[in-house]
Amino acid sequence: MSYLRKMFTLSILSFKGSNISVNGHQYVINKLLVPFLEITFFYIVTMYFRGNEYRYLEFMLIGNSVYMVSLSTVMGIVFTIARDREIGMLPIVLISPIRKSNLFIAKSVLHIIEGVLLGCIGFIFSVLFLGLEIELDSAFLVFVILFLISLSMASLGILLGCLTMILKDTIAFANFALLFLLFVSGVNFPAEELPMSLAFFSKLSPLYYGLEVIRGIIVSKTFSIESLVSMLLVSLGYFLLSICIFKTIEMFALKKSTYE
Amino acid sequence: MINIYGVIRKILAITYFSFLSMRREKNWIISILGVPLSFSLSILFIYEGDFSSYYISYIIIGSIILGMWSANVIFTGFELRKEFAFSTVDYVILSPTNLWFFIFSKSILYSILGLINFFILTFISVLIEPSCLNDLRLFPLILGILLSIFFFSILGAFLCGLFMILKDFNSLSTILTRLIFIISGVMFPLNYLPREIRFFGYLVPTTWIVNMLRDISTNSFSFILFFQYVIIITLLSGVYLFLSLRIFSLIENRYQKNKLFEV
Repeated sequence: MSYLRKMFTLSILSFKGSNISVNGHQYVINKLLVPFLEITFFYIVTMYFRGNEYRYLEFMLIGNSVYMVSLSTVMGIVFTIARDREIGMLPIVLISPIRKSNLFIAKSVLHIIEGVLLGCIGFIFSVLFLGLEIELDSAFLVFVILFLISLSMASLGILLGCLTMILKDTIAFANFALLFLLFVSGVNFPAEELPMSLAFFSKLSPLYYGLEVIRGIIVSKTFSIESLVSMLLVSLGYFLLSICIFKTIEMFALKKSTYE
Repeated sequence: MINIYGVIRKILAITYFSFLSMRREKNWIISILGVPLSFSLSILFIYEGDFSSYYISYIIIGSIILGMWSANVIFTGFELRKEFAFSTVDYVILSPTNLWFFIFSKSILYSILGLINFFILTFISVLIEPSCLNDLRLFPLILGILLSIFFFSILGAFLCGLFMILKDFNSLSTILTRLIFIISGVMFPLNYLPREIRFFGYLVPTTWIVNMLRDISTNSFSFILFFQYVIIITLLSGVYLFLSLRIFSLIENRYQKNKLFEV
């Protein structure tokens, strides 16, 4: 019980730490207003290039609302992990008795919840202002899948966070990774339209599978268990890979007696 | 009497040294291409029509504006803050070169680098459909791009001054990148926006630059039309130039009175 309490305290402190330089209205601007502007931009572009057909607009609105989840989860976690190194906390973190997998989980929990909430807000924005239709019956299932997507994206965030211990400009790298996801995961157009070489990357994105599941629920009232399992397997792979990378970095750091 | 040769030499020197200092950061290309390239490529796949003048008007021309605007917001916008952070602003202010001119010269470099997005997108478009640029009128486009670099640099200097005197410059920069894409109708005609929002679009030179590039590079080029656009953009840029000069003199005054960042 006390271990759980420690984990909970750690996740709250990590979350606070990652938002320490952000005040209330900056938070609203960065996490809500900017994604809303992005959704509106792609909404008008889709309306112009693909006609005013509801199925295209629906496709893009679902994609961008779910993308809000990854924006928050991935960036939040990368920033939390990267910050330890930036402010010189990494040695203290490494010598603490907590298991590395638990450390990552604790650092991710609140970002995962935040991601789900922001995803829900994205959907509410799309329904209220841009005409997306979701049946109330499927709303709960969408919420559950959003949670699983947020969980899966967290594993990608942890992997990118671990890479930040090798790379220098962490935030730019994470930003680029997210923008790459926007392109290859089928957020604004079907990923099947991508050339073969790029379509390969979409299969590596948990967001791609998550979008398939959510679109199935909202559009065709079907539930793709295959896509759900694929999403969870891919994210498990990322999580294990990040643990391996972290352990390797730790090993080299101990050998060289440095954490840089 | 202005020494044109001296001014050009100064601009070239500042852009050259700025580029050298940029190259030390390996991620500059990622920062400069991130948003515009991912947006442009996404739109390239959203587009479902044939590769005609319509395609050039909206996707290729749009990619120019996305690139140049993002580069100016992300790089020029923070240039003065960087000078302050590295304490090199002393050298700039004490040098005989005007602070505004210094930032304007850097802005020219970033506007040019913003064109990388356009080159990549053009290259991809040609790979997909080799005849896609058949309707493109190259000479007017190059002329338009050269003018755009100049006007975007004035806007960049304005942003830099604005970000320097505002507290919430970070949030403003992320909002501005997306907001201008919408209100300037970068990838779609302005009449897709509500009338009230369209009005704000007309107050920003980027809207007129987009329209100018679209009209002169795909429709029948006429000098009258071209000059009409140039006059409107010059007038609007004049307003932003005036505002930025005022902001820069405010910054210099505050700096000299030790009020800015306690330097």
